[in-house]
Amino acid sequence: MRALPPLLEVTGLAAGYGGGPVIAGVGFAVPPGGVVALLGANGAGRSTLLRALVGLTPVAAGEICFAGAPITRLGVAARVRRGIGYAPEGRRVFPGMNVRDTLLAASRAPRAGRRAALDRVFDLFPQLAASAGRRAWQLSGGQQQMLALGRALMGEPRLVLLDSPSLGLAPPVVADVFGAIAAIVADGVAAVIAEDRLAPVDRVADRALVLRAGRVVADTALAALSEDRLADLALGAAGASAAASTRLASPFEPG
Amino acid sequence: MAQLLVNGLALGAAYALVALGFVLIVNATGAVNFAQGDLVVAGGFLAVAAAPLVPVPALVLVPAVAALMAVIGLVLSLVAYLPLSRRPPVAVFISTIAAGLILENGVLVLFGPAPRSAPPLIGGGVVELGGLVVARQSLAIIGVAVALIAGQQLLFHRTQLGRWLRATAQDAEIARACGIPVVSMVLLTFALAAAYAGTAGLLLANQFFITPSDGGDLMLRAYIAVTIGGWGSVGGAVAGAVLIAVFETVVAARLGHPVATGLLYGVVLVILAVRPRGLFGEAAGRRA
Ligand SMILES: Nc1ncnc2c1ncn2[C@@H]1O[C@H](COP(=O)(O)OP(=O)(O)OP(=O)(O)O)[C@@H](O)[C@H]1O
Ligand SMILES: [Mg+2]
Repeated sequence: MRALPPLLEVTGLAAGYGGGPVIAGVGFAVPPGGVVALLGANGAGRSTLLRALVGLTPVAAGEICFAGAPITRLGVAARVRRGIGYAPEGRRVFPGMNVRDTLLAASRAPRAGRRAALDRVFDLFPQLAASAGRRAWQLSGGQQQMLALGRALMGEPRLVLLDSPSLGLAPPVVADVFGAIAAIVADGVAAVIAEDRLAPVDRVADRALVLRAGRVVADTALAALSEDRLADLALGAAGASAAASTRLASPFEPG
Repeated sequence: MAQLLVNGLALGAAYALVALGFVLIVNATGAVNFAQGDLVVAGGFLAVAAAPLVPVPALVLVPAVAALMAVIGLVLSLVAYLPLSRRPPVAVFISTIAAGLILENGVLVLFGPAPRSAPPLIGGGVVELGGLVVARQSLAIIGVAVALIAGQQLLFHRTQLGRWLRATAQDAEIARACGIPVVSMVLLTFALAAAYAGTAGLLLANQFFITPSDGGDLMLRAYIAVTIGGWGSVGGAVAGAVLIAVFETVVAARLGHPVATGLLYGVVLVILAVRPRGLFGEAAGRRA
């Protein structure tokens, strides 16, 4: 069995907002179709990492390779064109635009391709199709999250970066949202999903990357992680030794 | 009275174009373009300058003036907005005020301080509409403005370019993450705003007089219109502009221009007192 070359490969990445790096020395890989849970406590740097990957936060050091080519110095639009989709923390829907226009706006394809992408998103999210004409501010939190996911898919990405999709949603709605995410990854789209707990992501992810204070403290098979173990890693109690042992866990082995 | 109302509507139509350009820039960049009034003046004087050169009705000049003004708007955004877009908003306020003063003084040097007027849009004279005698010129102004506002609505709501412009206005960072070329969208917005302001200037110079120092008054009227209409709302800005113009025209006819202008600015002070976040409080999220 030969490992597939990774779709995303990050090495020694440092990024921040001008006042020193918020994340540093971050390295990990995602194979085609792989799903990584990006975990950590508040302020650990998960959002910063995802923003750096899509190009919204400048990279201070390190390298990002996507589909075999370096993209570290590319702008956001160029990265999106290569197949990266991004759903930001807090959803950030365009409040005054309706569902249909929001989705169409997120496509750079000519008319026919745009329509095809819209149809695929509507197939995936019947809820969105049913409220195609409603403005984003009129939608419920769960629907807004679906819209943010759909928007990230309109560029037909091979990798989606989903920042805290469960944020502020009631448990049944979280289940709906993750049902939709499961459908996305079932199509073979790779994903990095930031969350602060294991519970919502464990049904879709196969690996976990745990950040503490901007550094990777564990890169492990998801099965090797429990909610308690995660708390230890993320908060630092016994973190160092736990990190050392989990890093020995088997790397990705796609079937 | 009806004639007065039509005059007011014609003035309001021109104001609406100014306010529309103003609100498009506020939405797209969060910046207040204080040069908007001077762009109107520049458009008016372009029409004045072009009229003797081209022996055609001024209506034909509309696209030419709009195109030239779009170029000026592009230059304005490249010089006064883009280099400062990451600075605090006050930097852009100052730079657009400076750009406006440069425009105003440029016009002053080229044309002198006297009020000027451009030839009518379509021949002069009046038409009778259901017993009302109405100046053709007023109707032409209203017609041009309505067509341009409708064009803006079509562009923004029926085309992919419009979706990109709106997404950029709603959340530029996320628009960027959707692969939308937001810098181009901002430049285009400035070009569009300047084209609309310039066309307003042409329309005003056709029926009313225009002087190089009118920019400040026009800018204030656009600001009032946008404040009345609710920040960020295109429809509100247009409605606000028409309201102001009708108010001004009717009051001026009864009590004279100085009183009309004084009352208008009095109203602004009241509005600002009631809505103190007018200038710096960004529009509520529901605008489209
Ligand atoms: N725009 C910003 N400017 C300056 N500092 C920032 C900015 N955004 C985040 N930070 C800082 O960077 C650190 C990491 O924040 P980040 O948002 O990446 O964490 P996170 O893991 O996503 O946490 P959470 O989502 O729970 O807030 C924090 O200390 C935060 O204060
Ligand atoms: Mg976060």
